[in-house]
Amino acid sequence: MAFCGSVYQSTGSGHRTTKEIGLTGLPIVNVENVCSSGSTTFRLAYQSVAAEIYDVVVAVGFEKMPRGPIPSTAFRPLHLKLAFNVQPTNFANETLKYMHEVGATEEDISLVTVKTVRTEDLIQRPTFRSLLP
Amino acid sequence: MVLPGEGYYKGPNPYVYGHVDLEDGVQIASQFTESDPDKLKIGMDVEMIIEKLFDHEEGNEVMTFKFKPI
Repeated sequence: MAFCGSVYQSTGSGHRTTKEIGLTGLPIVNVENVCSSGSTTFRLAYQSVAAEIYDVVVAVGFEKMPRGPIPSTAFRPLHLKLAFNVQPTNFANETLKYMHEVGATEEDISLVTVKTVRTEDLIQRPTFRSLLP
Repeated sequence: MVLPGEGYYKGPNPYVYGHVDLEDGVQIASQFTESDPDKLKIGMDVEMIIEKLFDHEEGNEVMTFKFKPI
């Protein structure tokens, strides 16, 4: 069994990829879950083994995200025309609304970044480690 | 450089968008007439205006609603 995660590769991306590396005969499911495509792919693989449906499951990823805002079509046509499809801005707006509603401070929100960077330290995969003093 | 909208958007840049609470309880996403986000504060009163978003290649003006601080 193979779960194959990506967002912008089109139809049958997992099938096309695994065919190239010789994994023929495996049942394949392509997984797209926007930002959490990778985590979801892994979770589905884990769940299949935990539920004892399969003994061995492969979780595959094969997409490299470009730097900067990623253009997304997952918005209504009106919102595309008004350029509301800048996801960092959408997250920022939701964060500001949350802070206004519950009284969270910038310090509270920045603790999430600190946790992420410390996690990167532990798993030895620095993306934002340079942000820490 | 990836531009906002990536081909869909032809309006002014920079631009600011957020959410406005209308009097009847609906919250709507909208651009604002003010392009400096530091000049906008949550809770300020705004009014809706209609202005040009961009010139369509066929010659028409494409209009949009925006909210303007009052």
